[in-house]
Amino acid sequence: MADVLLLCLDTSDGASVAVCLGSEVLGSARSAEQRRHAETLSPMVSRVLDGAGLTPRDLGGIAVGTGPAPFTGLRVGLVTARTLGQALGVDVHGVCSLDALALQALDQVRGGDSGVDSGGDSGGGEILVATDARRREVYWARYRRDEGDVTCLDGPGVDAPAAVAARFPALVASGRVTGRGVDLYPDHLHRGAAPADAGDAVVRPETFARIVTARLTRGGDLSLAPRYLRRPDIHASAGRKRAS
Amino acid sequence: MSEPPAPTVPASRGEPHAEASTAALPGPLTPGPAGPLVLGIETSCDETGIAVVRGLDLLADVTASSMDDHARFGGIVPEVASRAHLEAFGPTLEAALERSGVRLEDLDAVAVASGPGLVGSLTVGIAAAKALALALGLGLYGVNHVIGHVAVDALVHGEFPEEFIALVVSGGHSSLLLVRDIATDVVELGQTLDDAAGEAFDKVGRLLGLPYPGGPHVDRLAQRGNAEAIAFPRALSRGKDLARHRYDFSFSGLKTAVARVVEGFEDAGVEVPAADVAASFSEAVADVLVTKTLAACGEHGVTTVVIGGGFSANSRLRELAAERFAAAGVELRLPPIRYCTDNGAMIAALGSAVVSAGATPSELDITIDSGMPLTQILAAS
Repeated sequence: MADVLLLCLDTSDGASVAVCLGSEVLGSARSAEQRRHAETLSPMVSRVLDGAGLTPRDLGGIAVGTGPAPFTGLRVGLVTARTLGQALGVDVHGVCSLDALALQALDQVRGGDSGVDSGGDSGGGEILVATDARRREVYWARYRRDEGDVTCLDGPGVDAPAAVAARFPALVASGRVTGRGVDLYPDHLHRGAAPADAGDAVVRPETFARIVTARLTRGGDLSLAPRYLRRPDIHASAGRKRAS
Repeated sequence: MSEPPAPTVPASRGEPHAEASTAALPGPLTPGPAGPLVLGIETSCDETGIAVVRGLDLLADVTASSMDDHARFGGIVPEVASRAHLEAFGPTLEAALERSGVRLEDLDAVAVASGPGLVGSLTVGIAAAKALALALGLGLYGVNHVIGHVAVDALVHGEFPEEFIALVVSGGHSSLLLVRDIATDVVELGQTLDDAAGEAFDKVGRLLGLPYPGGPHVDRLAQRGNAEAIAFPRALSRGKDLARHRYDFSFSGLKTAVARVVEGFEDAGVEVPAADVAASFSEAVADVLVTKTLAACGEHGVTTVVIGGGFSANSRLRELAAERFAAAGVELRLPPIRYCTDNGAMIAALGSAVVSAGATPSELDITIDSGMPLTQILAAS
């Protein structure tokens, strides 16, 4: 399969944009702002394409992070990607944002490439991703490296850091945890060894390009459904209150 | 607990097209004789509306609603509405293009409601509109949702007169406007200080044990009741209140008055005369709206009124306005009910008007303004 020019977007933590041809990154931008995705994302895409001397018509596909993430920003990424795809007539692929963090961390972990399936929670070629879910919780998922891609073994879920630590004690003890949750909840998720990410806990959208390429060849989840993981905060009306 | 996987969106619309570039945003358009071809996107509340107009000709108007998803909560749940917008956007766009026979690359501009409304809902439409503008090199126009409720009437009744009064009444708004030019010059004369007219109806519907949304149910019930059975208050209609709030409305006290009456019957063990309550309440709302609108016509020497917004479907308001405006020699322009509720046509109509007036397109970084003032027709960066 010939390499296509892929626009990669992620809005799970700030907003990130990259345009990639195969493994080559032709341009990228990142905004750490946790709000205002609807204001900033399209201008960022425009600037990244301009900077690379490209127009939207040059794009051959789009990859977008499907969360889990705060809802409003997540939707901006998804509706932007889907609508660009619809307007340009190109395929749009969804990638769980935690998949990218897992692959980035495993790239940095010695032995991450060993391919040893140690099974269960004994560490081996595995990594636990924990990101900020607000409300004193983390989004989490457990992964194994898998030929240039990752396989999700557990999750994604959203839970209190203590509950996640209790569920995966060996990964936490061996420092095989990545994501912003490690810094936010060190008492639970950063015990013993240094964290795997070495401070690099942000989705690099170009990682989506690798994952999409791998999954288009060998199969894997590219669904565009948002991973909200939480229901809307609502309660059926308790009935009317008296006015008098 | 994660959602079931959805299929990857297939390659769909739009053949690659060599000349489009977004390196520079387009300048003001010079519309053809039939007027500009504009896509309108409306997502300010619980309806995903997309329409296509050419000048004042409506070519397609498609709406998806999440109203049923809110019914069991007795009101609109913003997060539920936002999730529904995301899923409905693509299919609604597809349907609007198919019905209009227009291809995306034929469009001159894309207009989107950028406020006022629910932030989460507006966000989906704005992000999508920006993506379309970026992909296709189209002019982007962020426009005011409430003014759209007025603009839509031009699709039905033709060009507006030089000056007119507009009453916009819905579940979220009750505003009186002096319009000198729908694209450039709108003055807000007054608005509700608390509940919107439609909101008051929904709340009274709940008081009377009617299903959500209460507005249409209260209206139907009212048609069987005696409008003079109970004398409900007309707020801001006398003395100092009137002087200070000549064109403002207030429906919260009225709603409480209805609650007191209903509770009085209940406490006395008497069956609530729901039809009479509904009729008397409807009369009070319609009376205040029509009286203040006519007063504005008198003060400004205006002889045309446009009524828009979902609440203009209310039968008593329609009746009373027709009757009193005719007596006062004021022309009433009231679009059919399907154009009064939230839809893409209203946004496309306003977009068409601002494009025709030579407005400069918005930048891609325009903001969502959930409290967008009614004097502001176009979004700011």
